[in-house]
Amino acid sequence: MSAAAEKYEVTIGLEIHVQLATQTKMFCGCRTSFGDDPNTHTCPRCLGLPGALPLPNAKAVHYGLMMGLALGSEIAPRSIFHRKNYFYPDLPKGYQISQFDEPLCDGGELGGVRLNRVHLEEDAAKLNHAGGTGRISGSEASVVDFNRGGTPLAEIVTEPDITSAEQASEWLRLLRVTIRQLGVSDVNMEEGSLRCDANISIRPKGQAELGTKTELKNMNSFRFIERGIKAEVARQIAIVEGGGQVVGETLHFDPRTEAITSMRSKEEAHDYRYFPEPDLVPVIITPEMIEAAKAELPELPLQREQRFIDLGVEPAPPARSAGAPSWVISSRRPWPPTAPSRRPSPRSSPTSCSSASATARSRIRRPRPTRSPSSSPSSPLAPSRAPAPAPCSIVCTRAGETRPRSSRPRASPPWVAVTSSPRSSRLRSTPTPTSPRS
Amino acid sequence: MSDLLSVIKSQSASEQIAAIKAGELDARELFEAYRQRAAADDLNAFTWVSEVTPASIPEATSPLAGLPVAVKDLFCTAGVPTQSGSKLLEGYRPPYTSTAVAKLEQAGATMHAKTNQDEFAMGSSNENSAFGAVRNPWDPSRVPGGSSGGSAAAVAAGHAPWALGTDTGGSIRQPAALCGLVGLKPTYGAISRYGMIAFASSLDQAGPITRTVADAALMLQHLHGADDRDMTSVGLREEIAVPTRESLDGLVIGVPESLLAEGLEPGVLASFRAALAQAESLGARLEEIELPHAEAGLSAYYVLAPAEASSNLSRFDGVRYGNRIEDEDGTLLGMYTRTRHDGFGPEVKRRIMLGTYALSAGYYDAYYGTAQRVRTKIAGDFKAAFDTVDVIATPTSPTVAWELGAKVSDPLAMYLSDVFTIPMSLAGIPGINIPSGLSDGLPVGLQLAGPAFSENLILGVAHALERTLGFDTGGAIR
Repeated sequence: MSAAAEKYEVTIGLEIHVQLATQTKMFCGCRTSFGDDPNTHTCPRCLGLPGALPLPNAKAVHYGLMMGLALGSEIAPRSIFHRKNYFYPDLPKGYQISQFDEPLCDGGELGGVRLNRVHLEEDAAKLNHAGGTGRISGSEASVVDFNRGGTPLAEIVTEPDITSAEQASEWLRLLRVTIRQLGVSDVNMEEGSLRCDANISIRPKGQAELGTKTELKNMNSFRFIERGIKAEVARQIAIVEGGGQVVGETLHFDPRTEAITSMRSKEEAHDYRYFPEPDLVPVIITPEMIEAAKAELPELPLQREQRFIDLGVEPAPPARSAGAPSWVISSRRPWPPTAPSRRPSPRSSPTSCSSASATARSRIRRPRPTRSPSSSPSSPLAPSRAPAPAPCSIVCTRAGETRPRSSRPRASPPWVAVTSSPRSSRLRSTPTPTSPRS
Repeated sequence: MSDLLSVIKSQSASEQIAAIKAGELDARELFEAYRQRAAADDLNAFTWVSEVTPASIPEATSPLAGLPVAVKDLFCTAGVPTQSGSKLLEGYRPPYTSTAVAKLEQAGATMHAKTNQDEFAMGSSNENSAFGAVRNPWDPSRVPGGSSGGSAAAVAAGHAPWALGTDTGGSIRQPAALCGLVGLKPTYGAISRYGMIAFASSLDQAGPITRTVADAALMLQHLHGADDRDMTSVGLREEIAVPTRESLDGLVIGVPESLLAEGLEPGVLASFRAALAQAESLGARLEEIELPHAEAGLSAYYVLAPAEASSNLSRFDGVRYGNRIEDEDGTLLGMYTRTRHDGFGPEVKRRIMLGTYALSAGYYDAYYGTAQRVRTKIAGDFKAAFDTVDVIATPTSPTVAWELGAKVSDPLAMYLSDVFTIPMSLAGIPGINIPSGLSDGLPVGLQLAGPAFSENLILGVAHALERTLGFDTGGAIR
């Protein structure tokens, strides 16, 4: 580290978007896809045609529960969708249906990094910029492919617990293998099913108050994430060393040139005008749904690591340079590429999951978590075949005068008013044929 | 054709259906008669009229026996222009049909025309349409009410036996009042909103505009139901009965006297009192009730509805459908602003701006949040009132139909037209308008409201009153 860099502490929080491997989109019955002919998986809903209304994907909620349980989050008994309003051609309704202050999963922890939340939302469509380099500036025209629009996303937000670029990319690898093992996503950065933005700030060593943070986007591989964060930290240090102040803004990282350019200035900062989505009723999570999600949880990478350590397995030499944590190795061995097996993969022999060396562990700071993972599985699951998934049903209730008390009272809309019976049939857990004439 | 004219003038939709089933009326002839009348309409009530009579009309054995129905333009109808009164959607033909229309067609109705409306359902006079104002058949120099002004004018003029409308803050009930018809806004969630171009999602509801209460019940029978495609639809809890009630013995009618203190035209108030007296003569008992937060309802509505609308109308950006207008500078922002500036009318723009402001950072709690809390209070007022009374009666509109142009430059005065209908919308409870009489030759309407899912009750009470009041809903048909 340079002399200047040693004077500063770095604080990093990550915002990760994971495309869920459901058969159909988050709010309609169109098939999810990658690489198909453009605009071949669309319908009135995901095109934002007038009069279309959203329908939550029950499987996506189930996968969200699995993720929340695996990541030690608190599952909200009642969560709602919000509208995030802004204009862009890849957003057909002019708003994204997302979650705001009542997300599906609250808190959590993985590998020493605390999570703020895990919530569900829909993906935007794909913009292609023709002419020029493929980037929007210099292009002659842009076209939109709505196949991707509406794909279910889980957004995972960490607390700012990460302190280095290396830790960020290592931790992201751990998150990726964990989610891969769950089988809820392909988590393939090249295909866009795993995306990560970083919020970065620096402060003089010893100062308690965090510095101004910037948001760095467009890092679409682990290597670029590491390089991008390093470049941004260097940029911020240079500014502060030069007597300047870091401006809180959104930045774009160019991996080829390692240049960091501003995407949006403060004046153009979006006011998303979040308000509860009036076309959807609250999602009520029943004990049955939690049990169904728990039943599908496999043994997760960190659990397996601990199990092997407990069995006395000798740690193998680290796969990369000294100090690389053990679970990085799993990224060099292809996991089953499609649905996960809940039996141990024949390719992952015990020696490949070596126990973490003491050195590796010490590199991962494990601050005291502020909340204990209350919903994580209580005992390491034996790698056995999981039982058939229980039916996913979402009880759509309208809370009445006896609105369920949440720990964070909000001004929820009054139409969340009357209890009604479960309507599991209404929520799509099986695909319906795509047809514009439905 | 002239004997068909007397059928059109004197028979309700239910009676015409019965006549078709009895072989006394030919469904195709009737369709052609209504189609021609709609095509010749000089009230500007229609935005599309079928150019042909369909080769095959549904069987007389189907519940609605092929009877024509006029449909408000904001209902998506596959292949047929669906413009929601807006230049931005001029010529737009959706690829799918709304659930409400599909259900009526499945029951055997045939759509012969789509009706004019205030743009995106925003208005109380049908003067906000990009396709021109609609005229009231009782006096063509006056407004028919809105936003379902075209639907109401069509039925009152005999250009449709009945019509489908929508009501967000009064847009079925108020034009029904101004045109001397029955108009029902059901409980929120009774009818699927799938395919209804949205104005305010938590308030919009489809409903019938008809000549008689029995007609409204018949249409409601075939409209309501939980729909897989609309999460907010729950249907009605009981089957809708064709109303037969004649006596109001034992019925307690609540009257919010404090709301009647000012703003009412004397003729409207007099008609209201007379109708209540008739109710008493049928055995009902009147009781004064308080709806303490109802007056705040107008303000709450004009925060909530525009807020939801500002978001619902964001999809109209010219990218995928509708009238795109490029800007000379060729930029995305230029296209957005030109398309929306030229495509939206002034009232729509006014409400989008209001709604955007109410949701904006720093103001959300003060406006949107507060309005939602007021809404909960209003719902609570009604619940408390229904502990002591069975139904609530108010005038539907504080005035009779006013002259075209009289209120266009005073939006607030226009908003006041909905003061009696808005609280029911906010609370999600059903309300029905029946004509109670004439004042200076113009129709006056009485509104009855009941608890959520009490459609059978209010239809029954309305039917009994309708018999006694004896209003001629065909009075403007020539």
